[in-house]
Order: sequence, then structure tokens, then C-alpha cells
Amino acid sequence: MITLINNFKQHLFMCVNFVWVLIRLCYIHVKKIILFRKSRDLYGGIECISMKTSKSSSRLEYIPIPKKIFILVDDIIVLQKKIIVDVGQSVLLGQVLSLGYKHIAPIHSPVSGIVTKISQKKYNFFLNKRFSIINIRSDGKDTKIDSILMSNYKKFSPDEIIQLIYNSGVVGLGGAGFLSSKKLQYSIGNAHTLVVNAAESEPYITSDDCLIRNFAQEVIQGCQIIVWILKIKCVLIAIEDDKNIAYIKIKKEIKAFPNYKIYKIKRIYPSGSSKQLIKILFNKEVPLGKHSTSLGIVVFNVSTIFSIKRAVINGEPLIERIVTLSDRRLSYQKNILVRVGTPINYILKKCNINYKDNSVVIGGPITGLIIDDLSFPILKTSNNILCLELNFMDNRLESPCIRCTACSRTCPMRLLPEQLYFYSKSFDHNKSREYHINECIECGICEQVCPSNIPLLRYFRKEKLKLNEIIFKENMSKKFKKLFVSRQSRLNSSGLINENIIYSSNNLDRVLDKKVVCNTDIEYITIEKSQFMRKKELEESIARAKLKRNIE
Amino acid sequence: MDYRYIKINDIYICRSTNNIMLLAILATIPGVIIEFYYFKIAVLIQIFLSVISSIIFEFIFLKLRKKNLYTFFLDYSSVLTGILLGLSLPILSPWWISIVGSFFSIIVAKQLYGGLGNNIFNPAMSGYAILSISFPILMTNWSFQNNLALLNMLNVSDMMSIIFFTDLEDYYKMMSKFSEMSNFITQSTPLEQMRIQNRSIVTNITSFIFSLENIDIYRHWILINFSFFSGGIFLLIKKIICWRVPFSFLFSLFICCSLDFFYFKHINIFPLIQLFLGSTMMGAFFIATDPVTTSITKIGRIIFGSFIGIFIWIIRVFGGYPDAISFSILLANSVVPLIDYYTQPYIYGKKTK
Ligand code: SF4
Ligand code: SF4
Repeated sequence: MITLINNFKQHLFMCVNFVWVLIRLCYIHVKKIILFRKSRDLYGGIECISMKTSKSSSRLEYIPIPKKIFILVDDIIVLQKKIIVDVGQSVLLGQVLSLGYKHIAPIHSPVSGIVTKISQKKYNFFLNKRFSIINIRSDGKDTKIDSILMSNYKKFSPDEIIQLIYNSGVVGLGGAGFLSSKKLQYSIGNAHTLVVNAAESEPYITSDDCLIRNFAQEVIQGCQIIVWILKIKCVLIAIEDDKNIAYIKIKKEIKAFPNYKIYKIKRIYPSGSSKQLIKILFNKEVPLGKHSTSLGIVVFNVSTIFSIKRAVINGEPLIERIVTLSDRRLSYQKNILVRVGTPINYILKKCNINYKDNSVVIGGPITGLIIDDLSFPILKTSNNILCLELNFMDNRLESPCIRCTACSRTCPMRLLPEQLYFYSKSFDHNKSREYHINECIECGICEQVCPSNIPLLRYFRKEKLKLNEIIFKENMSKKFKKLFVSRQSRLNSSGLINENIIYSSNNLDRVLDKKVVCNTDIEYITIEKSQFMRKKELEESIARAKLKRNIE
Repeated sequence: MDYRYIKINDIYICRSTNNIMLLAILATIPGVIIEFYYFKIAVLIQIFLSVISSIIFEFIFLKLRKKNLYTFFLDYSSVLTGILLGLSLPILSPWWISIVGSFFSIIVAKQLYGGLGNNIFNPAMSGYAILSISFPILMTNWSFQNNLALLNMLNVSDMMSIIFFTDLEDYYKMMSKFSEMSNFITQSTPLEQMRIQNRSIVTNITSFIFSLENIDIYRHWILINFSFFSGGIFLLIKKIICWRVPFSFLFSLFICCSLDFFYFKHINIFPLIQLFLGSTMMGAFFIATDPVTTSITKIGRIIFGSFIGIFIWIIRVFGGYPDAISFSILLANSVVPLIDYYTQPYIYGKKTK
């Protein structure tokens, strides 16, 4: 009996031990999953099915220079009278057409020829923006204008180089179009790491891949320039894990430099976005409302670096870029080097693509815009032309949100798109601000995963515009109140109060009613408009003073 | 602004809303089949009645609201509501019960709040709750479902005549007759019955728990619940429902029941078996997970689920209503906005200061 009990005890002991070991193993495993693997990934995101590339995409193709070139110029530039060419004037390749203003880069002529017309046009599909268009007829000779070279850039000071980069009109080519010179200026002295973003921002686009395959050396040279300007210690190149040839090429180039590193990252959709890239590479999150430079990191797109190199060493302004041309089934996928300002129908014609029964998308398939007007030119930031079958949007009617949380599960910013949708639909601006609508990076994932086919991104863009308008109005009203109070106190002594108030308020109303047709950030317009107002105010007060004197 | 945007299935295959609803309907089929096996044609009649009536109500109301019938009508949500309502009704309740129920669930609980997606309360459960408040005797007529021998005495034409051609007084008379025939008290689901029985047999607890006879009567309940459970697992695998709601629901219910079993001794039935009685599994996997009325955050869903579980136990033990599921789900639905507000996730970059 005793032996039996003893035996039993032993068995029990073994069992308990075994179970304990099992539990500990499980615990370690779970810990591993939670602590190590998960944290390196970005939150959410979608694995796109067709991010694959076809063989033909590696070759860079050229098309002849078009006869007619349209250059889109922002309205604000026209308002500020920064266009420095006239109709009928002949221009050379690389000649400045319009000067930069604040966050807009100067624009250069991509061909040599004659300016034939400066017209205005409103594009419905392009967020209802109004543009001025400079039409240039090329003479086919491509005679270059003399430009400053800085091939020995180490002799110059960083400020001079940045000025040159600004003058060459280099903007972020990844999609945002932020001025590169400004980014460089901000990060002087702050940054210690340069991240080269070679991850394709959206499916179907292979322009960055193609760029690396063909110009790997020049990309590294561009990196060197930035390293020299910002005194950067270490360079990380992030590339997607299926782009082996590009990876090998870069690896060959960076052998000489010990502080260069190359990383392969997973092929998940918004990993091309800078915030998500930082999360993947460093497992750090950029603090709310701050730039990546606060972590000491600068992120540059590959093509931006390439154009910086071109600007500094070859003295070429940003007048051409690589554009991917593809269709839905990847039956053709080409990368073409085109001049900025080439109309899209010209490109399609030259590539023998039947665009009559297709709808054409400019930009990536997720955040891109469907264009109605095929004479729309290539912009500096447009990296893709996508042809899709007509009427592919059949049966995609918007149905109500069922709160399935597919969107909030995949949102890389961890927002709650369903709540944002609800609030932006019911115009609850305070709530939508509380739910951080301004942090949305407009990646469009929520729209893609939504089972109810709700165009969430549209709603968010609209809501953001409206929020900006409200902030603008608040600022304006505060300002005017201040002005009004001060003016009241000034006028109190004189006997002219009544007439003047009536007169001036009418005038103010008239000015406010006249909508300033600016199309860039409303914030920006705020400054613009307030300056305008201030000028008006000044003129008015001068007139008033004169009036006073006359009466006296 | 025009609403054209790009959505190609080559990028990301996403299910449409009606696809999700269809899959949910599909997942109820094993449960329906098992119920059909035990309770005969009566189940199908109830389901049929409530589905048809809810479709008709939806149609009429959408016409009145002048909505686009194509998108709103084809999302199958009314069909799902009808099926769930039909499954939760007592099988031999008269025909107008299901019609009144679907009237409440479609029009009052759903469309008056603004249609699918805007309703605060789960439509099927609010219909059921309203019915059980207004017709308490009819809605607690579970004697047939608990006593299969009774049910086997009836053939199809009997069932038809009970459902369709009996007026209310006859119905009450018949019910009392049946309740005399059966040894049980009519008014209850199995859990309620056990509670009442247990109070009378306090002394002989242990024998009651494990005696096969008692469990045997409820064997079909366990099977039915198991079929719903498997349907729920199918939905989980298809990633249509989130695991957080049903599992926190079942887990908290299990904890409460085991507390009860080992400490308070109100209901003396083994906690795991309690999870498989009544319509617990259907509530956990099909009703509580209805996406419109659950919380949208991850932590919020866990809170939501455990809230339901705890409330079910409280109502079962201390409350007067036999099937606590509908009331606790409705209660939990009403706190969803609060849960949502307080469990917002940290957005990107907020954690690192
Ligand atoms: S994915 Fe669409 S239906 Fe689902 S919660 Fe988000 S907005 Fe609503
Ligand atoms: S578009 Fe905005 S809300 Fe939608 S997934 Fe991207 S970051 Fe989130």
C-alpha cells in the first residue's frame, strides 16, 4: 500500500514537473512573440497581393520629347506675380519659369522652346484645384542654359549647397512634395541618421526599384552629399525584401563605406511612409506632432536623393522623373523617363496603349486620382500612371458602416476610422479633432478594407479641409476683434466713429466675400489672406488720415 | 465631390457587407439542422415566419424612408435578424408572436434608429425582450423543448394546428394541460428548472449534479449548443467575428458559474455544462458579436463580453427572467458608447513622450 502511494507520488511529481516545464516553455514563447517579433512590425497595414513586378519593369525606357509641354503652376505663385516668363518668350532647357515662394519650389523649363500661352484651368478631379498652365512648344533642340556646377561640393558651405538644391527645385518625390532644401535646413545639427527610403510606396509602382537598378552609384553619391551637409554618422537603406537585384547592386556600391547599412523590410503596404519606416527600422515612434528629426532621423526618398545628386553634381534642375506605367493585370509594366509636364495622353500614345476604353489613374492605386482630362501633365510628384478597365467600379455602392472594425484593425496610425467617419459625416468637428483626424496620413487603407465600400479617405480629406477653414476663421475673427478694439479706441477721440464703422465694415465684408482662390494649404492661405487684409487696413487708415486732414 | 475611388480586388480582397452577413447566416445552419432534428418542423416554421415578416417589414420601411432599395435591402441583415429571432423563440408559440417580434426588431429597434449601422440595440434581442415583457407566459413556454418525449407525441399536423389555428385562450388551456402531463414546471429554460428543482432538493446535491438522468434530459441542449459553437468557430476562422467578445463572455460566465458552484451554491450544475445549456452559445457567437452593437476597440470588446457574462449570471441567479441573455446583451449594448469613449487606443506616437 505504502509503495503504491509512493509510486503515485512520484508519478504525480513527474507530471507536475512536466506540466510546469510546458507552462514555462509556453510562457517564454508567448513572451518572445509579444516582446520581440510583434514590436518590430508596424501596426496594421495590409499585404497587397499584386505588389509583384514583371520582368520588363527593370529596363528604363525613353520616349521622345513631346511637342507641347504643359507646366502647372500653383495659383499662389500667380497671385504673388512670381512667373518670370512672358508669352512669346523663348526659353532654354533648365531656365527658371517661376520663382519659388515659401513652400513652393521654383519651376524650370523642361525643354527649350517658346512659351505660347499662359492659361488657367480648373481640374475637378484634382481636389477642385485651380492652376495656371504655362504652355511651351519645344523646338526639339534641347539647348541647355548655363548652370552652376558644384561637382566639388566639399569646397562649398552647406548653406550654399542647400541654396543650390532649392534653386534646382528639388522636392520630395515620394509623394508629399515637401521642399527638400527646407528639410535639410531643419535637420542641420539635429540629425545623426539618414534613412534612404527605397520601399515602394504603393503596389504597382516600381519606379524606385528601377532607379536603383540603373543608377545605384549615383544614389550613393547623393547620399554622400547629404551625409556631408548634415554631418551624418550612419546611413540606413531600407528596401523591400523581394527586390533582390536592387539589393545586390546597392550592396556592391556600399562596400567601401562602413557606416552604410542596408535593410530588407517586409512588403506591407504603408511601410513606404516615413513614420512607419522609422517604426520598422528603429522600433521607435515619432512623437505626436513632431518631425522625425526630433529623433535624429532624416528620411529621404531614393528618387529625391537621386535628383539632389543630379542638381549638385551635374547642375541639372529637376525636370524629369521616372514614371511607372502599368495596367491592372501587369500585362505591361514599364518605367519611363519623362520630362515633367509631358501630357499623359502623349505618353500613352507613345507606348501604344489603348486608353480609349480605360480609365486612367495618376498616382498609386490606393491614393491615386482618376483623371477625366487626359491632357493633364506629369507633375514632379506623380510616380505612376495606371490604366484600369472602364466601369470596374460597378456594384460598388456605398452602404452603411456596420462597425466591423476592419478599418481600425488595419489603420497604421491606430486611429478609429469608423468614429472619424461618423463624426465627419455628422459635421461634429470638435469630436473629430478629439479623435485625431489631423494625424491621418491619408494612406487609404481603411478605404480598401471597408466591406461597405465607404470612401473614407474622401470624407477625411473633406473634413480636414473644413477643420482648417474653421481654424482659419477663428484666427481671423480673433485678429479682427483685436484690430477693431484698437481702432475703436483710436477713433473714440475723433468724431468720425459712426460713418467710419459703417464704411469699413462694409468694405471688410466685401473683401471676405471675395473668396481667394488659393489651392494649397488653407493654413498658408491664412497668412496670405491676413497679409492682404493688413495691407487693405493700412491703405484704409491712410485714407482715413487724409480725410481727417482735409476736414481740418 | 464625386465619390469615385479605386478599389480593386487585386490589391486586397475584402468581403462586402452582404458577404459577411451571408457567411453568418451560413454559420447558423448546423445549429438549425440539429434543432430541426430534435424539435421537428416547428423550428423551421418559426424561422420561416420571422424571416419572411422581417424582410417584408424592412422592405416597407425602406420604401417609406425612400432609400436605395438595392444597397440597403440586399445586405441580408434582416434575414439574419429573422433567423436569430426565430431560433430564440419557443418553438410552439403562435404564429403572430414571431411577426410581432420581427416588427419590433426591424422597425422599432433598427429602422427607427436610422437603419443598419445606427442601431444601438441588437435588433433580434430587443424584439425578443419586448415579446418576453409583453407576453411572459407565451414566451416562457419551454416545456416542449425541455421534454422531448412530449414533443415526440405530436406529429406535423398537430404542430401546425397549434401554431396557426389556436386562439389565445385555447392555447393557454392547452399549455396548462401539457404542463400537467409533464412533470416539470412549464415556465423555464433548463437552467431555470434546475434552479427551482434545486431549492427543493437541497440535501441531495451531489447526486443531482452527476446523475445521468438529469443530464440526459438536457443532452439535446448540449448538442444544439455545440453545433452553434462549431458555427461560431467557423466564423472565427473566417475572421468575421472577433474572438474577444465570445471568449470573454464565456470565460466570465464560466468564472461566475464556478464561483457559484463552489461557493454560493445557487445553481448546482457543473460550470462547463452550464455554458452549453439554453441559448448561451448562440448568444455568445451570433448575437453578442453583432458588429453594429459591439464596442469597436479591442479592450472595449473584452469589457463588453465580460459585462454580458456577469450580467447573465446575475439575472439567472437573482432575477426573475429565465433567459437572461437578451436582457444582459441589451444592457451591455447600452453602455457601448461609454466603453468606446474610455478605451480609445493610443494613436501612433502618443506612447513615446
Ligand atoms: S471598415 Fe467600413 S464598415 Fe467596417 S467599421 Fe470601418 S468604416 Fe465601418
Ligand atoms: S487613411 Fe488615415 S484613417 Fe485611414 S487607415 Fe490611413 S491613417 Fe488610418
